[in-house]
Amino acid sequence: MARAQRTVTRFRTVTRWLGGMLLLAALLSFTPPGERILAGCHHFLDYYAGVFCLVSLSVTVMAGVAATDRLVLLIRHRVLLQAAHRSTALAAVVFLGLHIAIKVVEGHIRILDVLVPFLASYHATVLGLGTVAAYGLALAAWTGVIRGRFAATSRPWLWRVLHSVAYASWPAGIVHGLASGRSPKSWVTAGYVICVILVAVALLVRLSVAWGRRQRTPKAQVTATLPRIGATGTGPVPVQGWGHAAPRQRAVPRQRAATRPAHRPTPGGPMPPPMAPPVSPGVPPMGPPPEPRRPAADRRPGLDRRSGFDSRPGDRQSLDRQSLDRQPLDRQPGFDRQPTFADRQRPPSVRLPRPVEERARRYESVSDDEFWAHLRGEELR
Amino acid sequence: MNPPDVVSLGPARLTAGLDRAGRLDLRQHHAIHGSLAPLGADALLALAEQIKLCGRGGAGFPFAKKLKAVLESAYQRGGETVVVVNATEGEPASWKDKVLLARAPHLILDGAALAAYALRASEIVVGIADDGVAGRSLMRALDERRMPAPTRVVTVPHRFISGEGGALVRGINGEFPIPPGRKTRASDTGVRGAPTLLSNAETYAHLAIGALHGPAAYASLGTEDEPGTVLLTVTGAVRRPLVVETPAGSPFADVLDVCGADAASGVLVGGFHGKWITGAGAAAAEVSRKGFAAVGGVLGAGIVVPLGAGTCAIGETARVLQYLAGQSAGQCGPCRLGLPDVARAMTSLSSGGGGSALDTVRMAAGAVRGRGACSHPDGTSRFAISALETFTEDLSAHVLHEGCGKPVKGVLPIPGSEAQSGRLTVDWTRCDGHGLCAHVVPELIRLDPNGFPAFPDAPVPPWLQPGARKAIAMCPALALRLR
Repeated sequence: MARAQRTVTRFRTVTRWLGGMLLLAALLSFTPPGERILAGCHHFLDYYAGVFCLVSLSVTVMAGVAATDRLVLLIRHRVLLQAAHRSTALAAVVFLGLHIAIKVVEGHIRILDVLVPFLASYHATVLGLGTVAAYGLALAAWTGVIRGRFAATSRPWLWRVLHSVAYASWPAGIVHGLASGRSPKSWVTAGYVICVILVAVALLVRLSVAWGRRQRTPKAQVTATLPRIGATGTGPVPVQGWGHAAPRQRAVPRQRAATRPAHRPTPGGPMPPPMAPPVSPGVPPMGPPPEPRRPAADRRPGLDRRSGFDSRPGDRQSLDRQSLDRQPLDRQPGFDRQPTFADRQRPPSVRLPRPVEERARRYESVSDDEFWAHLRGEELR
Repeated sequence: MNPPDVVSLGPARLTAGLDRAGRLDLRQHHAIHGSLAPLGADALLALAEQIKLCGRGGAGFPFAKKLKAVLESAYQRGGETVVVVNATEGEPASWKDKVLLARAPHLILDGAALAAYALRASEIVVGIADDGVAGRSLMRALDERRMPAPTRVVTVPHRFISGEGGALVRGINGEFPIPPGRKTRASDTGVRGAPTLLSNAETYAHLAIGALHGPAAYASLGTEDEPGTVLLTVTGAVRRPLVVETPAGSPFADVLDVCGADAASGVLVGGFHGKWITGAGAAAAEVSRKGFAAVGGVLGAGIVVPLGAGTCAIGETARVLQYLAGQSAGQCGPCRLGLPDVARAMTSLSSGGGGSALDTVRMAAGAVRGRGACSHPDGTSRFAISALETFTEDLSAHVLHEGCGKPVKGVLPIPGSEAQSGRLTVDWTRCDGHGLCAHVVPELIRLDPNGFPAFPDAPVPPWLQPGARKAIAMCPALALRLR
């Protein structure tokens, strides 16, 4: 509160002083020496406001890009350069305002030309570049003023993007400055060209450092996407179907398999162990003895393991060729491999996967300890 | 926090009648204490010497000496004199002046009136803090009565150092209420440059008691050296926080008992510029300047804060040091930059900095001593060193082992420490260790050994906020913000 009051008081004092001085200047300008001084000021600003604006903008851009350097500069140099960046930016904005005001007052350009580029009756292109550069400078200055707000948001890069408008505005300003008015001396042109090249080099160094840092950070990569299997419906999956084998569907007619809701990978839900049960010829399978073999049409096609996917046991139950064939290719599991009828035509000597039900029961019975033991390479008890 | 209750052990003097009434108006005040007879300068001087009145603001300077200095200065210069009552009470753990002003304001005003009459003062100024506790009661009391000189109430912003005498004089003179760079005695040049009698509010109340009841009755309580009673503020790990009036020389254990204090693990006495004493020392001490000094404490402004068993002593000390560092006026370099050093070293010690952190605490505390315009660096340094000397067991647990294992509960009261706004935060994923922030506000931000910013986990004090905003604007990574 006290601080706000102090600020208000200081603001009032400053306003009063400024107002008084302006009034005094206005009164003095009616006297003959005042008129002469005023004319001199006007002449000076007519000639040099644009030049000073461009020089200030150039210094601002160079100080700004130099202030980001960590290779050569010490912290105190960078703080100093930032301060210089801000003050010269303020000077550039002030001189820009004077430049535009005087050119409008003298009738060189219309107010419309100030607002809309490339409409001027003469020198349309270079004057338009001046307008573009003015917009860029205004945007860069404004983002500089409200920079602190971007620190509080989650999008600091947005500030960088907006503030980088200056890098486009500056060359436009240089072209405008060199081409629209008096023809510049060659050393002036050369100076600007050198400045642009230096800034471009500094910018490249900065971008390459930033790019290198980005490259060093590995991003998460999608190694595989598990598509929805076995169903065409899009409704939610019932909870009871999420980490468990689906209820027995043996007696259910085949046609319903396509309409049954399928599993879908749930990020939070308990995932089934991503492994196939170890099957070795010497070890008798656990649990109840395997059921007699069913017709081949009832067996799962054995797609998943070969194509690198391992979906849930419940999904396997609902897999059948009809639904697979009905699905578009990219919705099918492992769409790199088109399902064939090879499984049915497999010679009888090939060991077929055990019935699905029994697998499902095994999956259910695998506890966490056993799962990790398996991953460690120990034999499943 | 609400003002604590008032309890008197033994006959009540300053707090007489407060057990029956919330606030004593002028009529009740007269009924209890009788009405005041004015005294001349010589009589007042004699009274102050007879009751051996010493300043109750912390320094304990003899009141008679101060009065004599003002009289001499006024005699030499022949101008006006001013009486100033210092009731600003910048110590966050102190309530006695505020409670007295809110509930028995006429005692303080009686004392100020006595002094003003004896000095033929041209003005009486009462300085209070802007915490809104005592202002209304004081204004009502001034409405109820007449004073021998025009009386002005000056409110200064609540800040730890604004209670210092020189700071109050500057505040009354319309300057920033921070201690002056050059030590001037208020008795020589005070308010408007005139000789000024500046003393603590409780001191004036004691003067009034002495005048109202007579020096003999006043000295019937207390010890030979320190007659009368003492006001103590007991907060912290207690069942109920209290302002206790007790005769000087009475056992400190009685005071702790009546508040239900958990004092076994240590007690802070004398405020944040005071000292820690051990539980054993507290049990053996008697309430007087001498008695506290005998067990390694100071009476100061009568602040007593038992630590309690369940909190980390080193962590609590570090927290207070951070507060004290933030309260520096920032005008003396060794204090402005040195106190954050002390606080940082103590925080590092509490979080496992080991022996090197201990050395750093000692070094940083030694580096600020005696190097400022006021006693703020000295008091802070003394407080830090006293914690190291008192909590030897906790210290060894922190230095040699993993730590004491106790949480930091915030037993010591720190104003505004709960506020979530006005805190500096870093987005660590954005921060790249450029280090510009530490260059801009070294009082607040320093770089850790890896070059990343480190600052206290507390709200940024208002006077450091412009600097903090500058650091935010300078941060090349847009990682800093003020919440």
